[in-house]
Amino acid sequence: MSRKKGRMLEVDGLSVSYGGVAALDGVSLRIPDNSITAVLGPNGAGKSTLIRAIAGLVRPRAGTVSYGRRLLTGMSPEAIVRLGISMVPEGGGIIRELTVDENLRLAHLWRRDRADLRKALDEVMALFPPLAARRHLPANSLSGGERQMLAVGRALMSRAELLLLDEPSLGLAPRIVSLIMRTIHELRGQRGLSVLLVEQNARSALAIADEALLLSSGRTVASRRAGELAHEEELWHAYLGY
Amino acid sequence: MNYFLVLTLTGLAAGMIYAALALALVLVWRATRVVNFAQGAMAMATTYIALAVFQLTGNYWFGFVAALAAGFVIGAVAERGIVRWVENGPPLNAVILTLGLLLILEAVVPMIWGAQIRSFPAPFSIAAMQVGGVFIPVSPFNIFTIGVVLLVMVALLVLFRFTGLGLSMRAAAFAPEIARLLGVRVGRLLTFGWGLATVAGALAGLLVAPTLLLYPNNMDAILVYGFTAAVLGGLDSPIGALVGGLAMGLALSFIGGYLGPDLETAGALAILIAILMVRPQGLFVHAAERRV
Repeated sequence: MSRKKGRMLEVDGLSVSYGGVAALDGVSLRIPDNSITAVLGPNGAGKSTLIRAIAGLVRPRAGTVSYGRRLLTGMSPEAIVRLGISMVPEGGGIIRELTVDENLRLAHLWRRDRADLRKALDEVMALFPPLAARRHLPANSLSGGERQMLAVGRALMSRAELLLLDEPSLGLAPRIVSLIMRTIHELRGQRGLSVLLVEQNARSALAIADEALLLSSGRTVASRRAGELAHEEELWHAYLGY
Repeated sequence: MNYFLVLTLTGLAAGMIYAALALALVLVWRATRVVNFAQGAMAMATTYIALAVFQLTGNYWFGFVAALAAGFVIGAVAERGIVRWVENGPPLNAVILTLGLLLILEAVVPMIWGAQIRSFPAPFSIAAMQVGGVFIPVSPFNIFTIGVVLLVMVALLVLFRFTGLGLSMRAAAFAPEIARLLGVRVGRLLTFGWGLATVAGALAGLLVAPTLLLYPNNMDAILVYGFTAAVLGGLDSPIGALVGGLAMGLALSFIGGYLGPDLETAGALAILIAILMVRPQGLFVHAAERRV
C-alpha cells in the first residue's frame, strides 16, 4: 500500500458554538503521522464537537483545521474523506437498512477502483472474521460488538490514513472493548495509521495512546504524553468523575 | 366478453399509469422526504413539450424522448433551484413550495401553448383489439403502457439493487450524514433523484394524454390517484408504488363501472382516507422506524 509519509493533522484555536452556546473554545492539538491521540473528558466536554468539526460536519466559529498542507476548514465531509480522513461516529453509524457487504462497499465507491475494492473487502474480512460470516445479512442483525467492527472496517475501506473514532467502546462489553482497542493499536503498527480516539473510557484509551488531551467545558485542561496522564489519576478522576 | 373482465383489464392499464406517477412521488420522497404536489403539473408541462416536438418533427418518438429529457431537467432544476433552499426548514415549507410550483406551471403553460383542450398522439392504436373475430377490451396502446411502465420498474430495480449509483442513492436516502462521511456526494444524488422521478412522471403524462387529452390541469386527478397509490405502497417503496397503482386502477375501474363514473374521484379519496385510518405506514414499508 502506498502511503504519503509525514502528514500531520493540526487543529489551531478551534471554537464551535451551537446557537450562541460555546461547545468548543480555542482548542489546539497536533496528531503526528503514525500516532494515537486520545481525547478524554466528561459528557458535554466538546469531544464529539471536536471530532465533528475536523470531519467537516460542523462549521467552526473560529480557528483552523489542516492536514498536511491542506486547510480543511470549510470543506465538506465528502471532500475531507477523499483526503484520507475517515470518521467513525458515536455508535458506529452503520446503515441498518443495508447489508454488511453494502455498508463496506459504500465507503470504497468514491475510489472507483474495482480491483482494489475486492482487496479492501478481503482485508476487512480477515481483520474481523465475524463480519465475513454475516456478510450478506442486514447490518441490523449484528450484535453491538459486530457493529463496531463493521464501523471500523468500513472506515478502513476508504484507505484512510487518519481515523477519527468517536467513543468506539460505548456500550460494549469489556472483552469487546479490549478487542477493538487492540485492533486500533495493531492498525497503527501494521498500516501506519494515525488515530484520534475520543473516549470516556480513559483507562482503555490511555493504554494504547501516545498523546492525550483532557477536555472540560470545551477547553483543554491537560495535554500530555498518554503515559504521564495515566499516572495522574487524581486529575482525570476530578474531571471524569470516576 | 364478461363485463367484470373488461373492467379488470382497463383497470390494470390505467393502474400502470397511476403506478408511474406514484413511482415519481416515491422517488422524490425517498430522496428528500418531500411530497411533490407539482409532480402532475410537471408531467403536464413535459407532455406539452412532447406535443411541440411532435408537431415540429412529425415523429412521435422524438416527442417521447424530448418529454423524458425535459422531465429530467425540470426535476433536477426544481430540486437544485427551489427545494434545496428550504431543505433544513420545517417539512411544510417544501410542500408549500411544490404547491406554488404547481400553480405556476398551470399558469405558465397556457400562456405559452393556450388553454384549449388538445388531442395527443399515441404510437399505437387506442382502439380495442379484435383477435379472430373475438372482441378483446385491450388496445395495443394499453399493452404498450403496461410494457413500458414495467420496463421502467425493472430498470429502477436493477439501478437500486445492483449498481454503485443505486447503493449511494439508497444510503443517501436512509442516512444522509453517514453517507457524506463515507464520501457519497449526497447533494448531487438528491438532484439526480428528482430528475429521475420527474422522468417517471413525464412517462405518466405521455401515457395519460392520448385517452384523457391534454390541457393545463389534465393531470390533477391523476396526481390524486398516484398519490393514493404511493401512500398505499408506503411512499418508500417502488414495488409498493406498482402494487398501489394497480390496486387503485382496479378499484377505480370497478367503482366507475358498477357505481358510475362520477364516483371515481370520490372513490379515490375514500380509499386514501381508509388507508390512512387502517394502515398509515402503507403496505410495503420494510425497515423499522425512519426519521419521519
